[in-house]
Amino acid sequence: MTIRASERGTEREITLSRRELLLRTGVLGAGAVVGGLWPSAARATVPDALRPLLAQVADPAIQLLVRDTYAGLAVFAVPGPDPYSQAQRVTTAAPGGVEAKAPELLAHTLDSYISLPDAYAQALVAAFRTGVEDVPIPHSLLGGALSALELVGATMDDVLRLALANDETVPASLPLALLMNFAATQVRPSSVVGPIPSSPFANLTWSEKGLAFERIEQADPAIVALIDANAPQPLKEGASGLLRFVGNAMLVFAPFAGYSEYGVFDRSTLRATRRPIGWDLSRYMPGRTTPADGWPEFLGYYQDRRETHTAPEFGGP
Amino acid sequence: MRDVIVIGAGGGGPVVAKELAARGLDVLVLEGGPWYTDPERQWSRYENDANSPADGYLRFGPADRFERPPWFRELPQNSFVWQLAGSGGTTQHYFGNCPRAMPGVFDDYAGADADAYDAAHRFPFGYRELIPYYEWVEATLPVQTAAMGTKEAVFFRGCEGVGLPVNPYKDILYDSFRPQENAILQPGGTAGRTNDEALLTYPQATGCTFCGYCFQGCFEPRRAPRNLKAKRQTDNSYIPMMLTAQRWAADGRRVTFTPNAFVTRILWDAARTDRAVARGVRWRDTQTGEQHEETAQVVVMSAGCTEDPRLWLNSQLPNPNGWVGRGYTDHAIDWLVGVFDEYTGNSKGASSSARVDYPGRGALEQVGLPPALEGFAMGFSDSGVRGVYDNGRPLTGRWDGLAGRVYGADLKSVLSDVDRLVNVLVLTDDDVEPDDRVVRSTFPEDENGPIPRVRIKGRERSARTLANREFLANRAADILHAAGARRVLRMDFGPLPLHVHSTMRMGSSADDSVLDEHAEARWVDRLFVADNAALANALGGPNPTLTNQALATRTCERIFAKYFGGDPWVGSESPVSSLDDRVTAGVLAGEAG
Repeated sequence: MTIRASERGTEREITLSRRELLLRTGVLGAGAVVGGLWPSAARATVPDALRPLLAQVADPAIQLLVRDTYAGLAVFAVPGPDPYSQAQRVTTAAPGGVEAKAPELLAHTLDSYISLPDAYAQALVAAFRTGVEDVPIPHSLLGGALSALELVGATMDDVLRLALANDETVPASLPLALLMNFAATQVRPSSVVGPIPSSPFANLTWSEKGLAFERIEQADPAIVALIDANAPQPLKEGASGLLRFVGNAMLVFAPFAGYSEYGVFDRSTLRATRRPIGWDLSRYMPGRTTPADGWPEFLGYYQDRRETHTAPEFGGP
Repeated sequence: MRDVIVIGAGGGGPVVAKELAARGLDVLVLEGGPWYTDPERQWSRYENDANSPADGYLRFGPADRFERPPWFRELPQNSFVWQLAGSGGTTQHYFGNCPRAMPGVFDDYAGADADAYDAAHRFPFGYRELIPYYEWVEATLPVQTAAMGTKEAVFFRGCEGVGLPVNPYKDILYDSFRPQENAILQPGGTAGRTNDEALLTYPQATGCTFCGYCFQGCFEPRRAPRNLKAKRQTDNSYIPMMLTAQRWAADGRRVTFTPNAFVTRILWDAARTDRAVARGVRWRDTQTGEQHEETAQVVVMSAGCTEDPRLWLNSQLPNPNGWVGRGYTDHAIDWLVGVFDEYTGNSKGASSSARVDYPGRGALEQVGLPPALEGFAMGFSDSGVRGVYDNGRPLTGRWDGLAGRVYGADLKSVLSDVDRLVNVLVLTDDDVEPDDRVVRSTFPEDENGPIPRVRIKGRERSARTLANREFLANRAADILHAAGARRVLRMDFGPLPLHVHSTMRMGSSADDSVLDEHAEARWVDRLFVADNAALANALGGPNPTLTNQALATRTCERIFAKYFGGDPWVGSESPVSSLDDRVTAGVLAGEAG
């Protein structure tokens, strides 16, 4: 199937195999995945001679993919006027999650809070890199000699293959970003191209993002089978629980991050350097940048009762 | 050899330490997290800096929060377990709410509604027996009737509007509302009467200053001695007392407190084929990695509902009926938000100062939060995202629309003024269920050994639990509407165990309990449990810390009588308040850290 999509105003064609399309939309189902059809369908595009160039661009490309995906999540929770909010077609005039630096906090929190065994994290990356198989290495990272990668059509899949081959420790934010992107391509295969070049998830509309998370939270059988097919023992068959846990974790931390002080917090002084965006959004303590020591809120005691005792039936007065 | 080793300095452990130190015993308290000796400097009270599970100062992890990751626990479902390491434990987070348990959850209950409770898992003694221990703890903390701010006035208006009567007692006797009985000192002097920070220091201000940061740990009023801070988290109450016992008790002996000491094993001997005897613990210094062992005549587990089973299982202690870690009750909590056209003062004042109790059903409590925690609460759901998907769970009721997360532009609208919201927390009287449990995870172990896996069924809870939860959510919506809410939203939380109980439960039957009626392990002599894990059930819905502390006090009398030949004291002596001048003198002398 050939789909047409717009990237920076330029029409681009992508050809998805019928099998890819069916897998991404979940129609082909778990059996095909468990049977080993899916991972083997992926293909490398970069000649060996260009692999040193690929190594140069791998880290920034992965960072961009992670950053853009969590920016897509941050504005799903708390939209603003930024390009990510524009991509989801829900914007607000007031700043939102991106301006509050929620994407950085989300990735940091997930990296530290969710401790996936290395082998499991790598298995998840292997499983979900197919979601960005057709996502090119972002143009903004290429130039000079690196342009050769563009000429051979190198994709984020090549970058991830290289990372896995190097047996790198994988922080949780990467496989979870890939999970969101894989789910995004299930919801709309054409999301592999769009205004946010490195993240299919960030290219979804606001409602489509919800549908992607529906698949994650409901442990879509195709996703479960994909994880379990790749997972090492004894962690096989734990995918449903993992999806429900990480789906909620990502959704619950996103609004927390958007309304927190993280973006303006100085760890060395334990103070905000200026007023957090979330405080303005919620009209919290107007004019302050630091927590207050108290408020003139005391109204007295209900029915003027200042103390109570054990009830008479239990021996009280 | 010590007399007693207590594992954990949270809600229960310091109670045991304080009570037994007052009897002159040599007590060692081991805490896996840090010791917060100067919170006015250590704690910022910013929401992420306090609460981030990654590196917040109230996280569950080693002390060096910016250098090392937290301790991961496997949760194979939509859930978030809010554990906390460090002096005070989860009482750092708690709102100080101190209701007594429902009388109907004890074995002497003969009310007409006796069948309305979890009748299969009652406490193995009577409610009346616990009342002297309640009164002892209420005087020690102390517990006081909560002051009222705007958000409480709004909530009470709703309660009056739906025709609920007021409960003027400490005991819960009928469907009723009331100000909370809180372990928070009532405001005095300038507290609650100004926002001029120059006027809000001790002794001009005493008690609660209405700052609104109960969840971030309390150090108000500034400059107050530690035992005179407003919220009575244990590091402001029982820990100062345990460290100054030589001052305020005739035979008192100061407790030895060792933070950054993660207990990895209970040391025990096989007494007979079917019994064991605890003889000490092995612990790991979380900063140096050094291993230590210490022996004692009695060991008390107070590490919490998730960590007690972890420690028991990792120690390979006997578990013949398989109930270690089972019966994980959590009040099946839920959350509703009322959006008002008037000022509610939601972000100010003690976080929860009003409640409604429905015996046989559970309870509701009004909660105020700052904005990021509001965002967290409105992002937590088992019903998807409002307007997009419902996770196959289209819950409707007296609230507006379907339950689910409030997200996107709707969230920005709802949270456009944090002080025009009123939240209601649903505390369900939930059943003890054997399949909700803590086991050892198949994930790799961490530096402290195999990690726990917490399995909570959530949607598949018992029919009684689910019916109670729906009843309470509808009553909460009615109250918010009656109070004048323009819009009422229900989140339908997935499991969010803020209140956890009964994973090492005491019970009448040896078939479904770990502890006997005195909180001693059925198969391990000299091993006791003194925290929420020891509770027989979910108390009928009331917040658990007070009952945990009352039960721990009762357990101390048993320990002292059985293993040290002493006499009980609660019925014959008067309690010393944690506000006592002798405690204050010890704090000012630097004895409490």
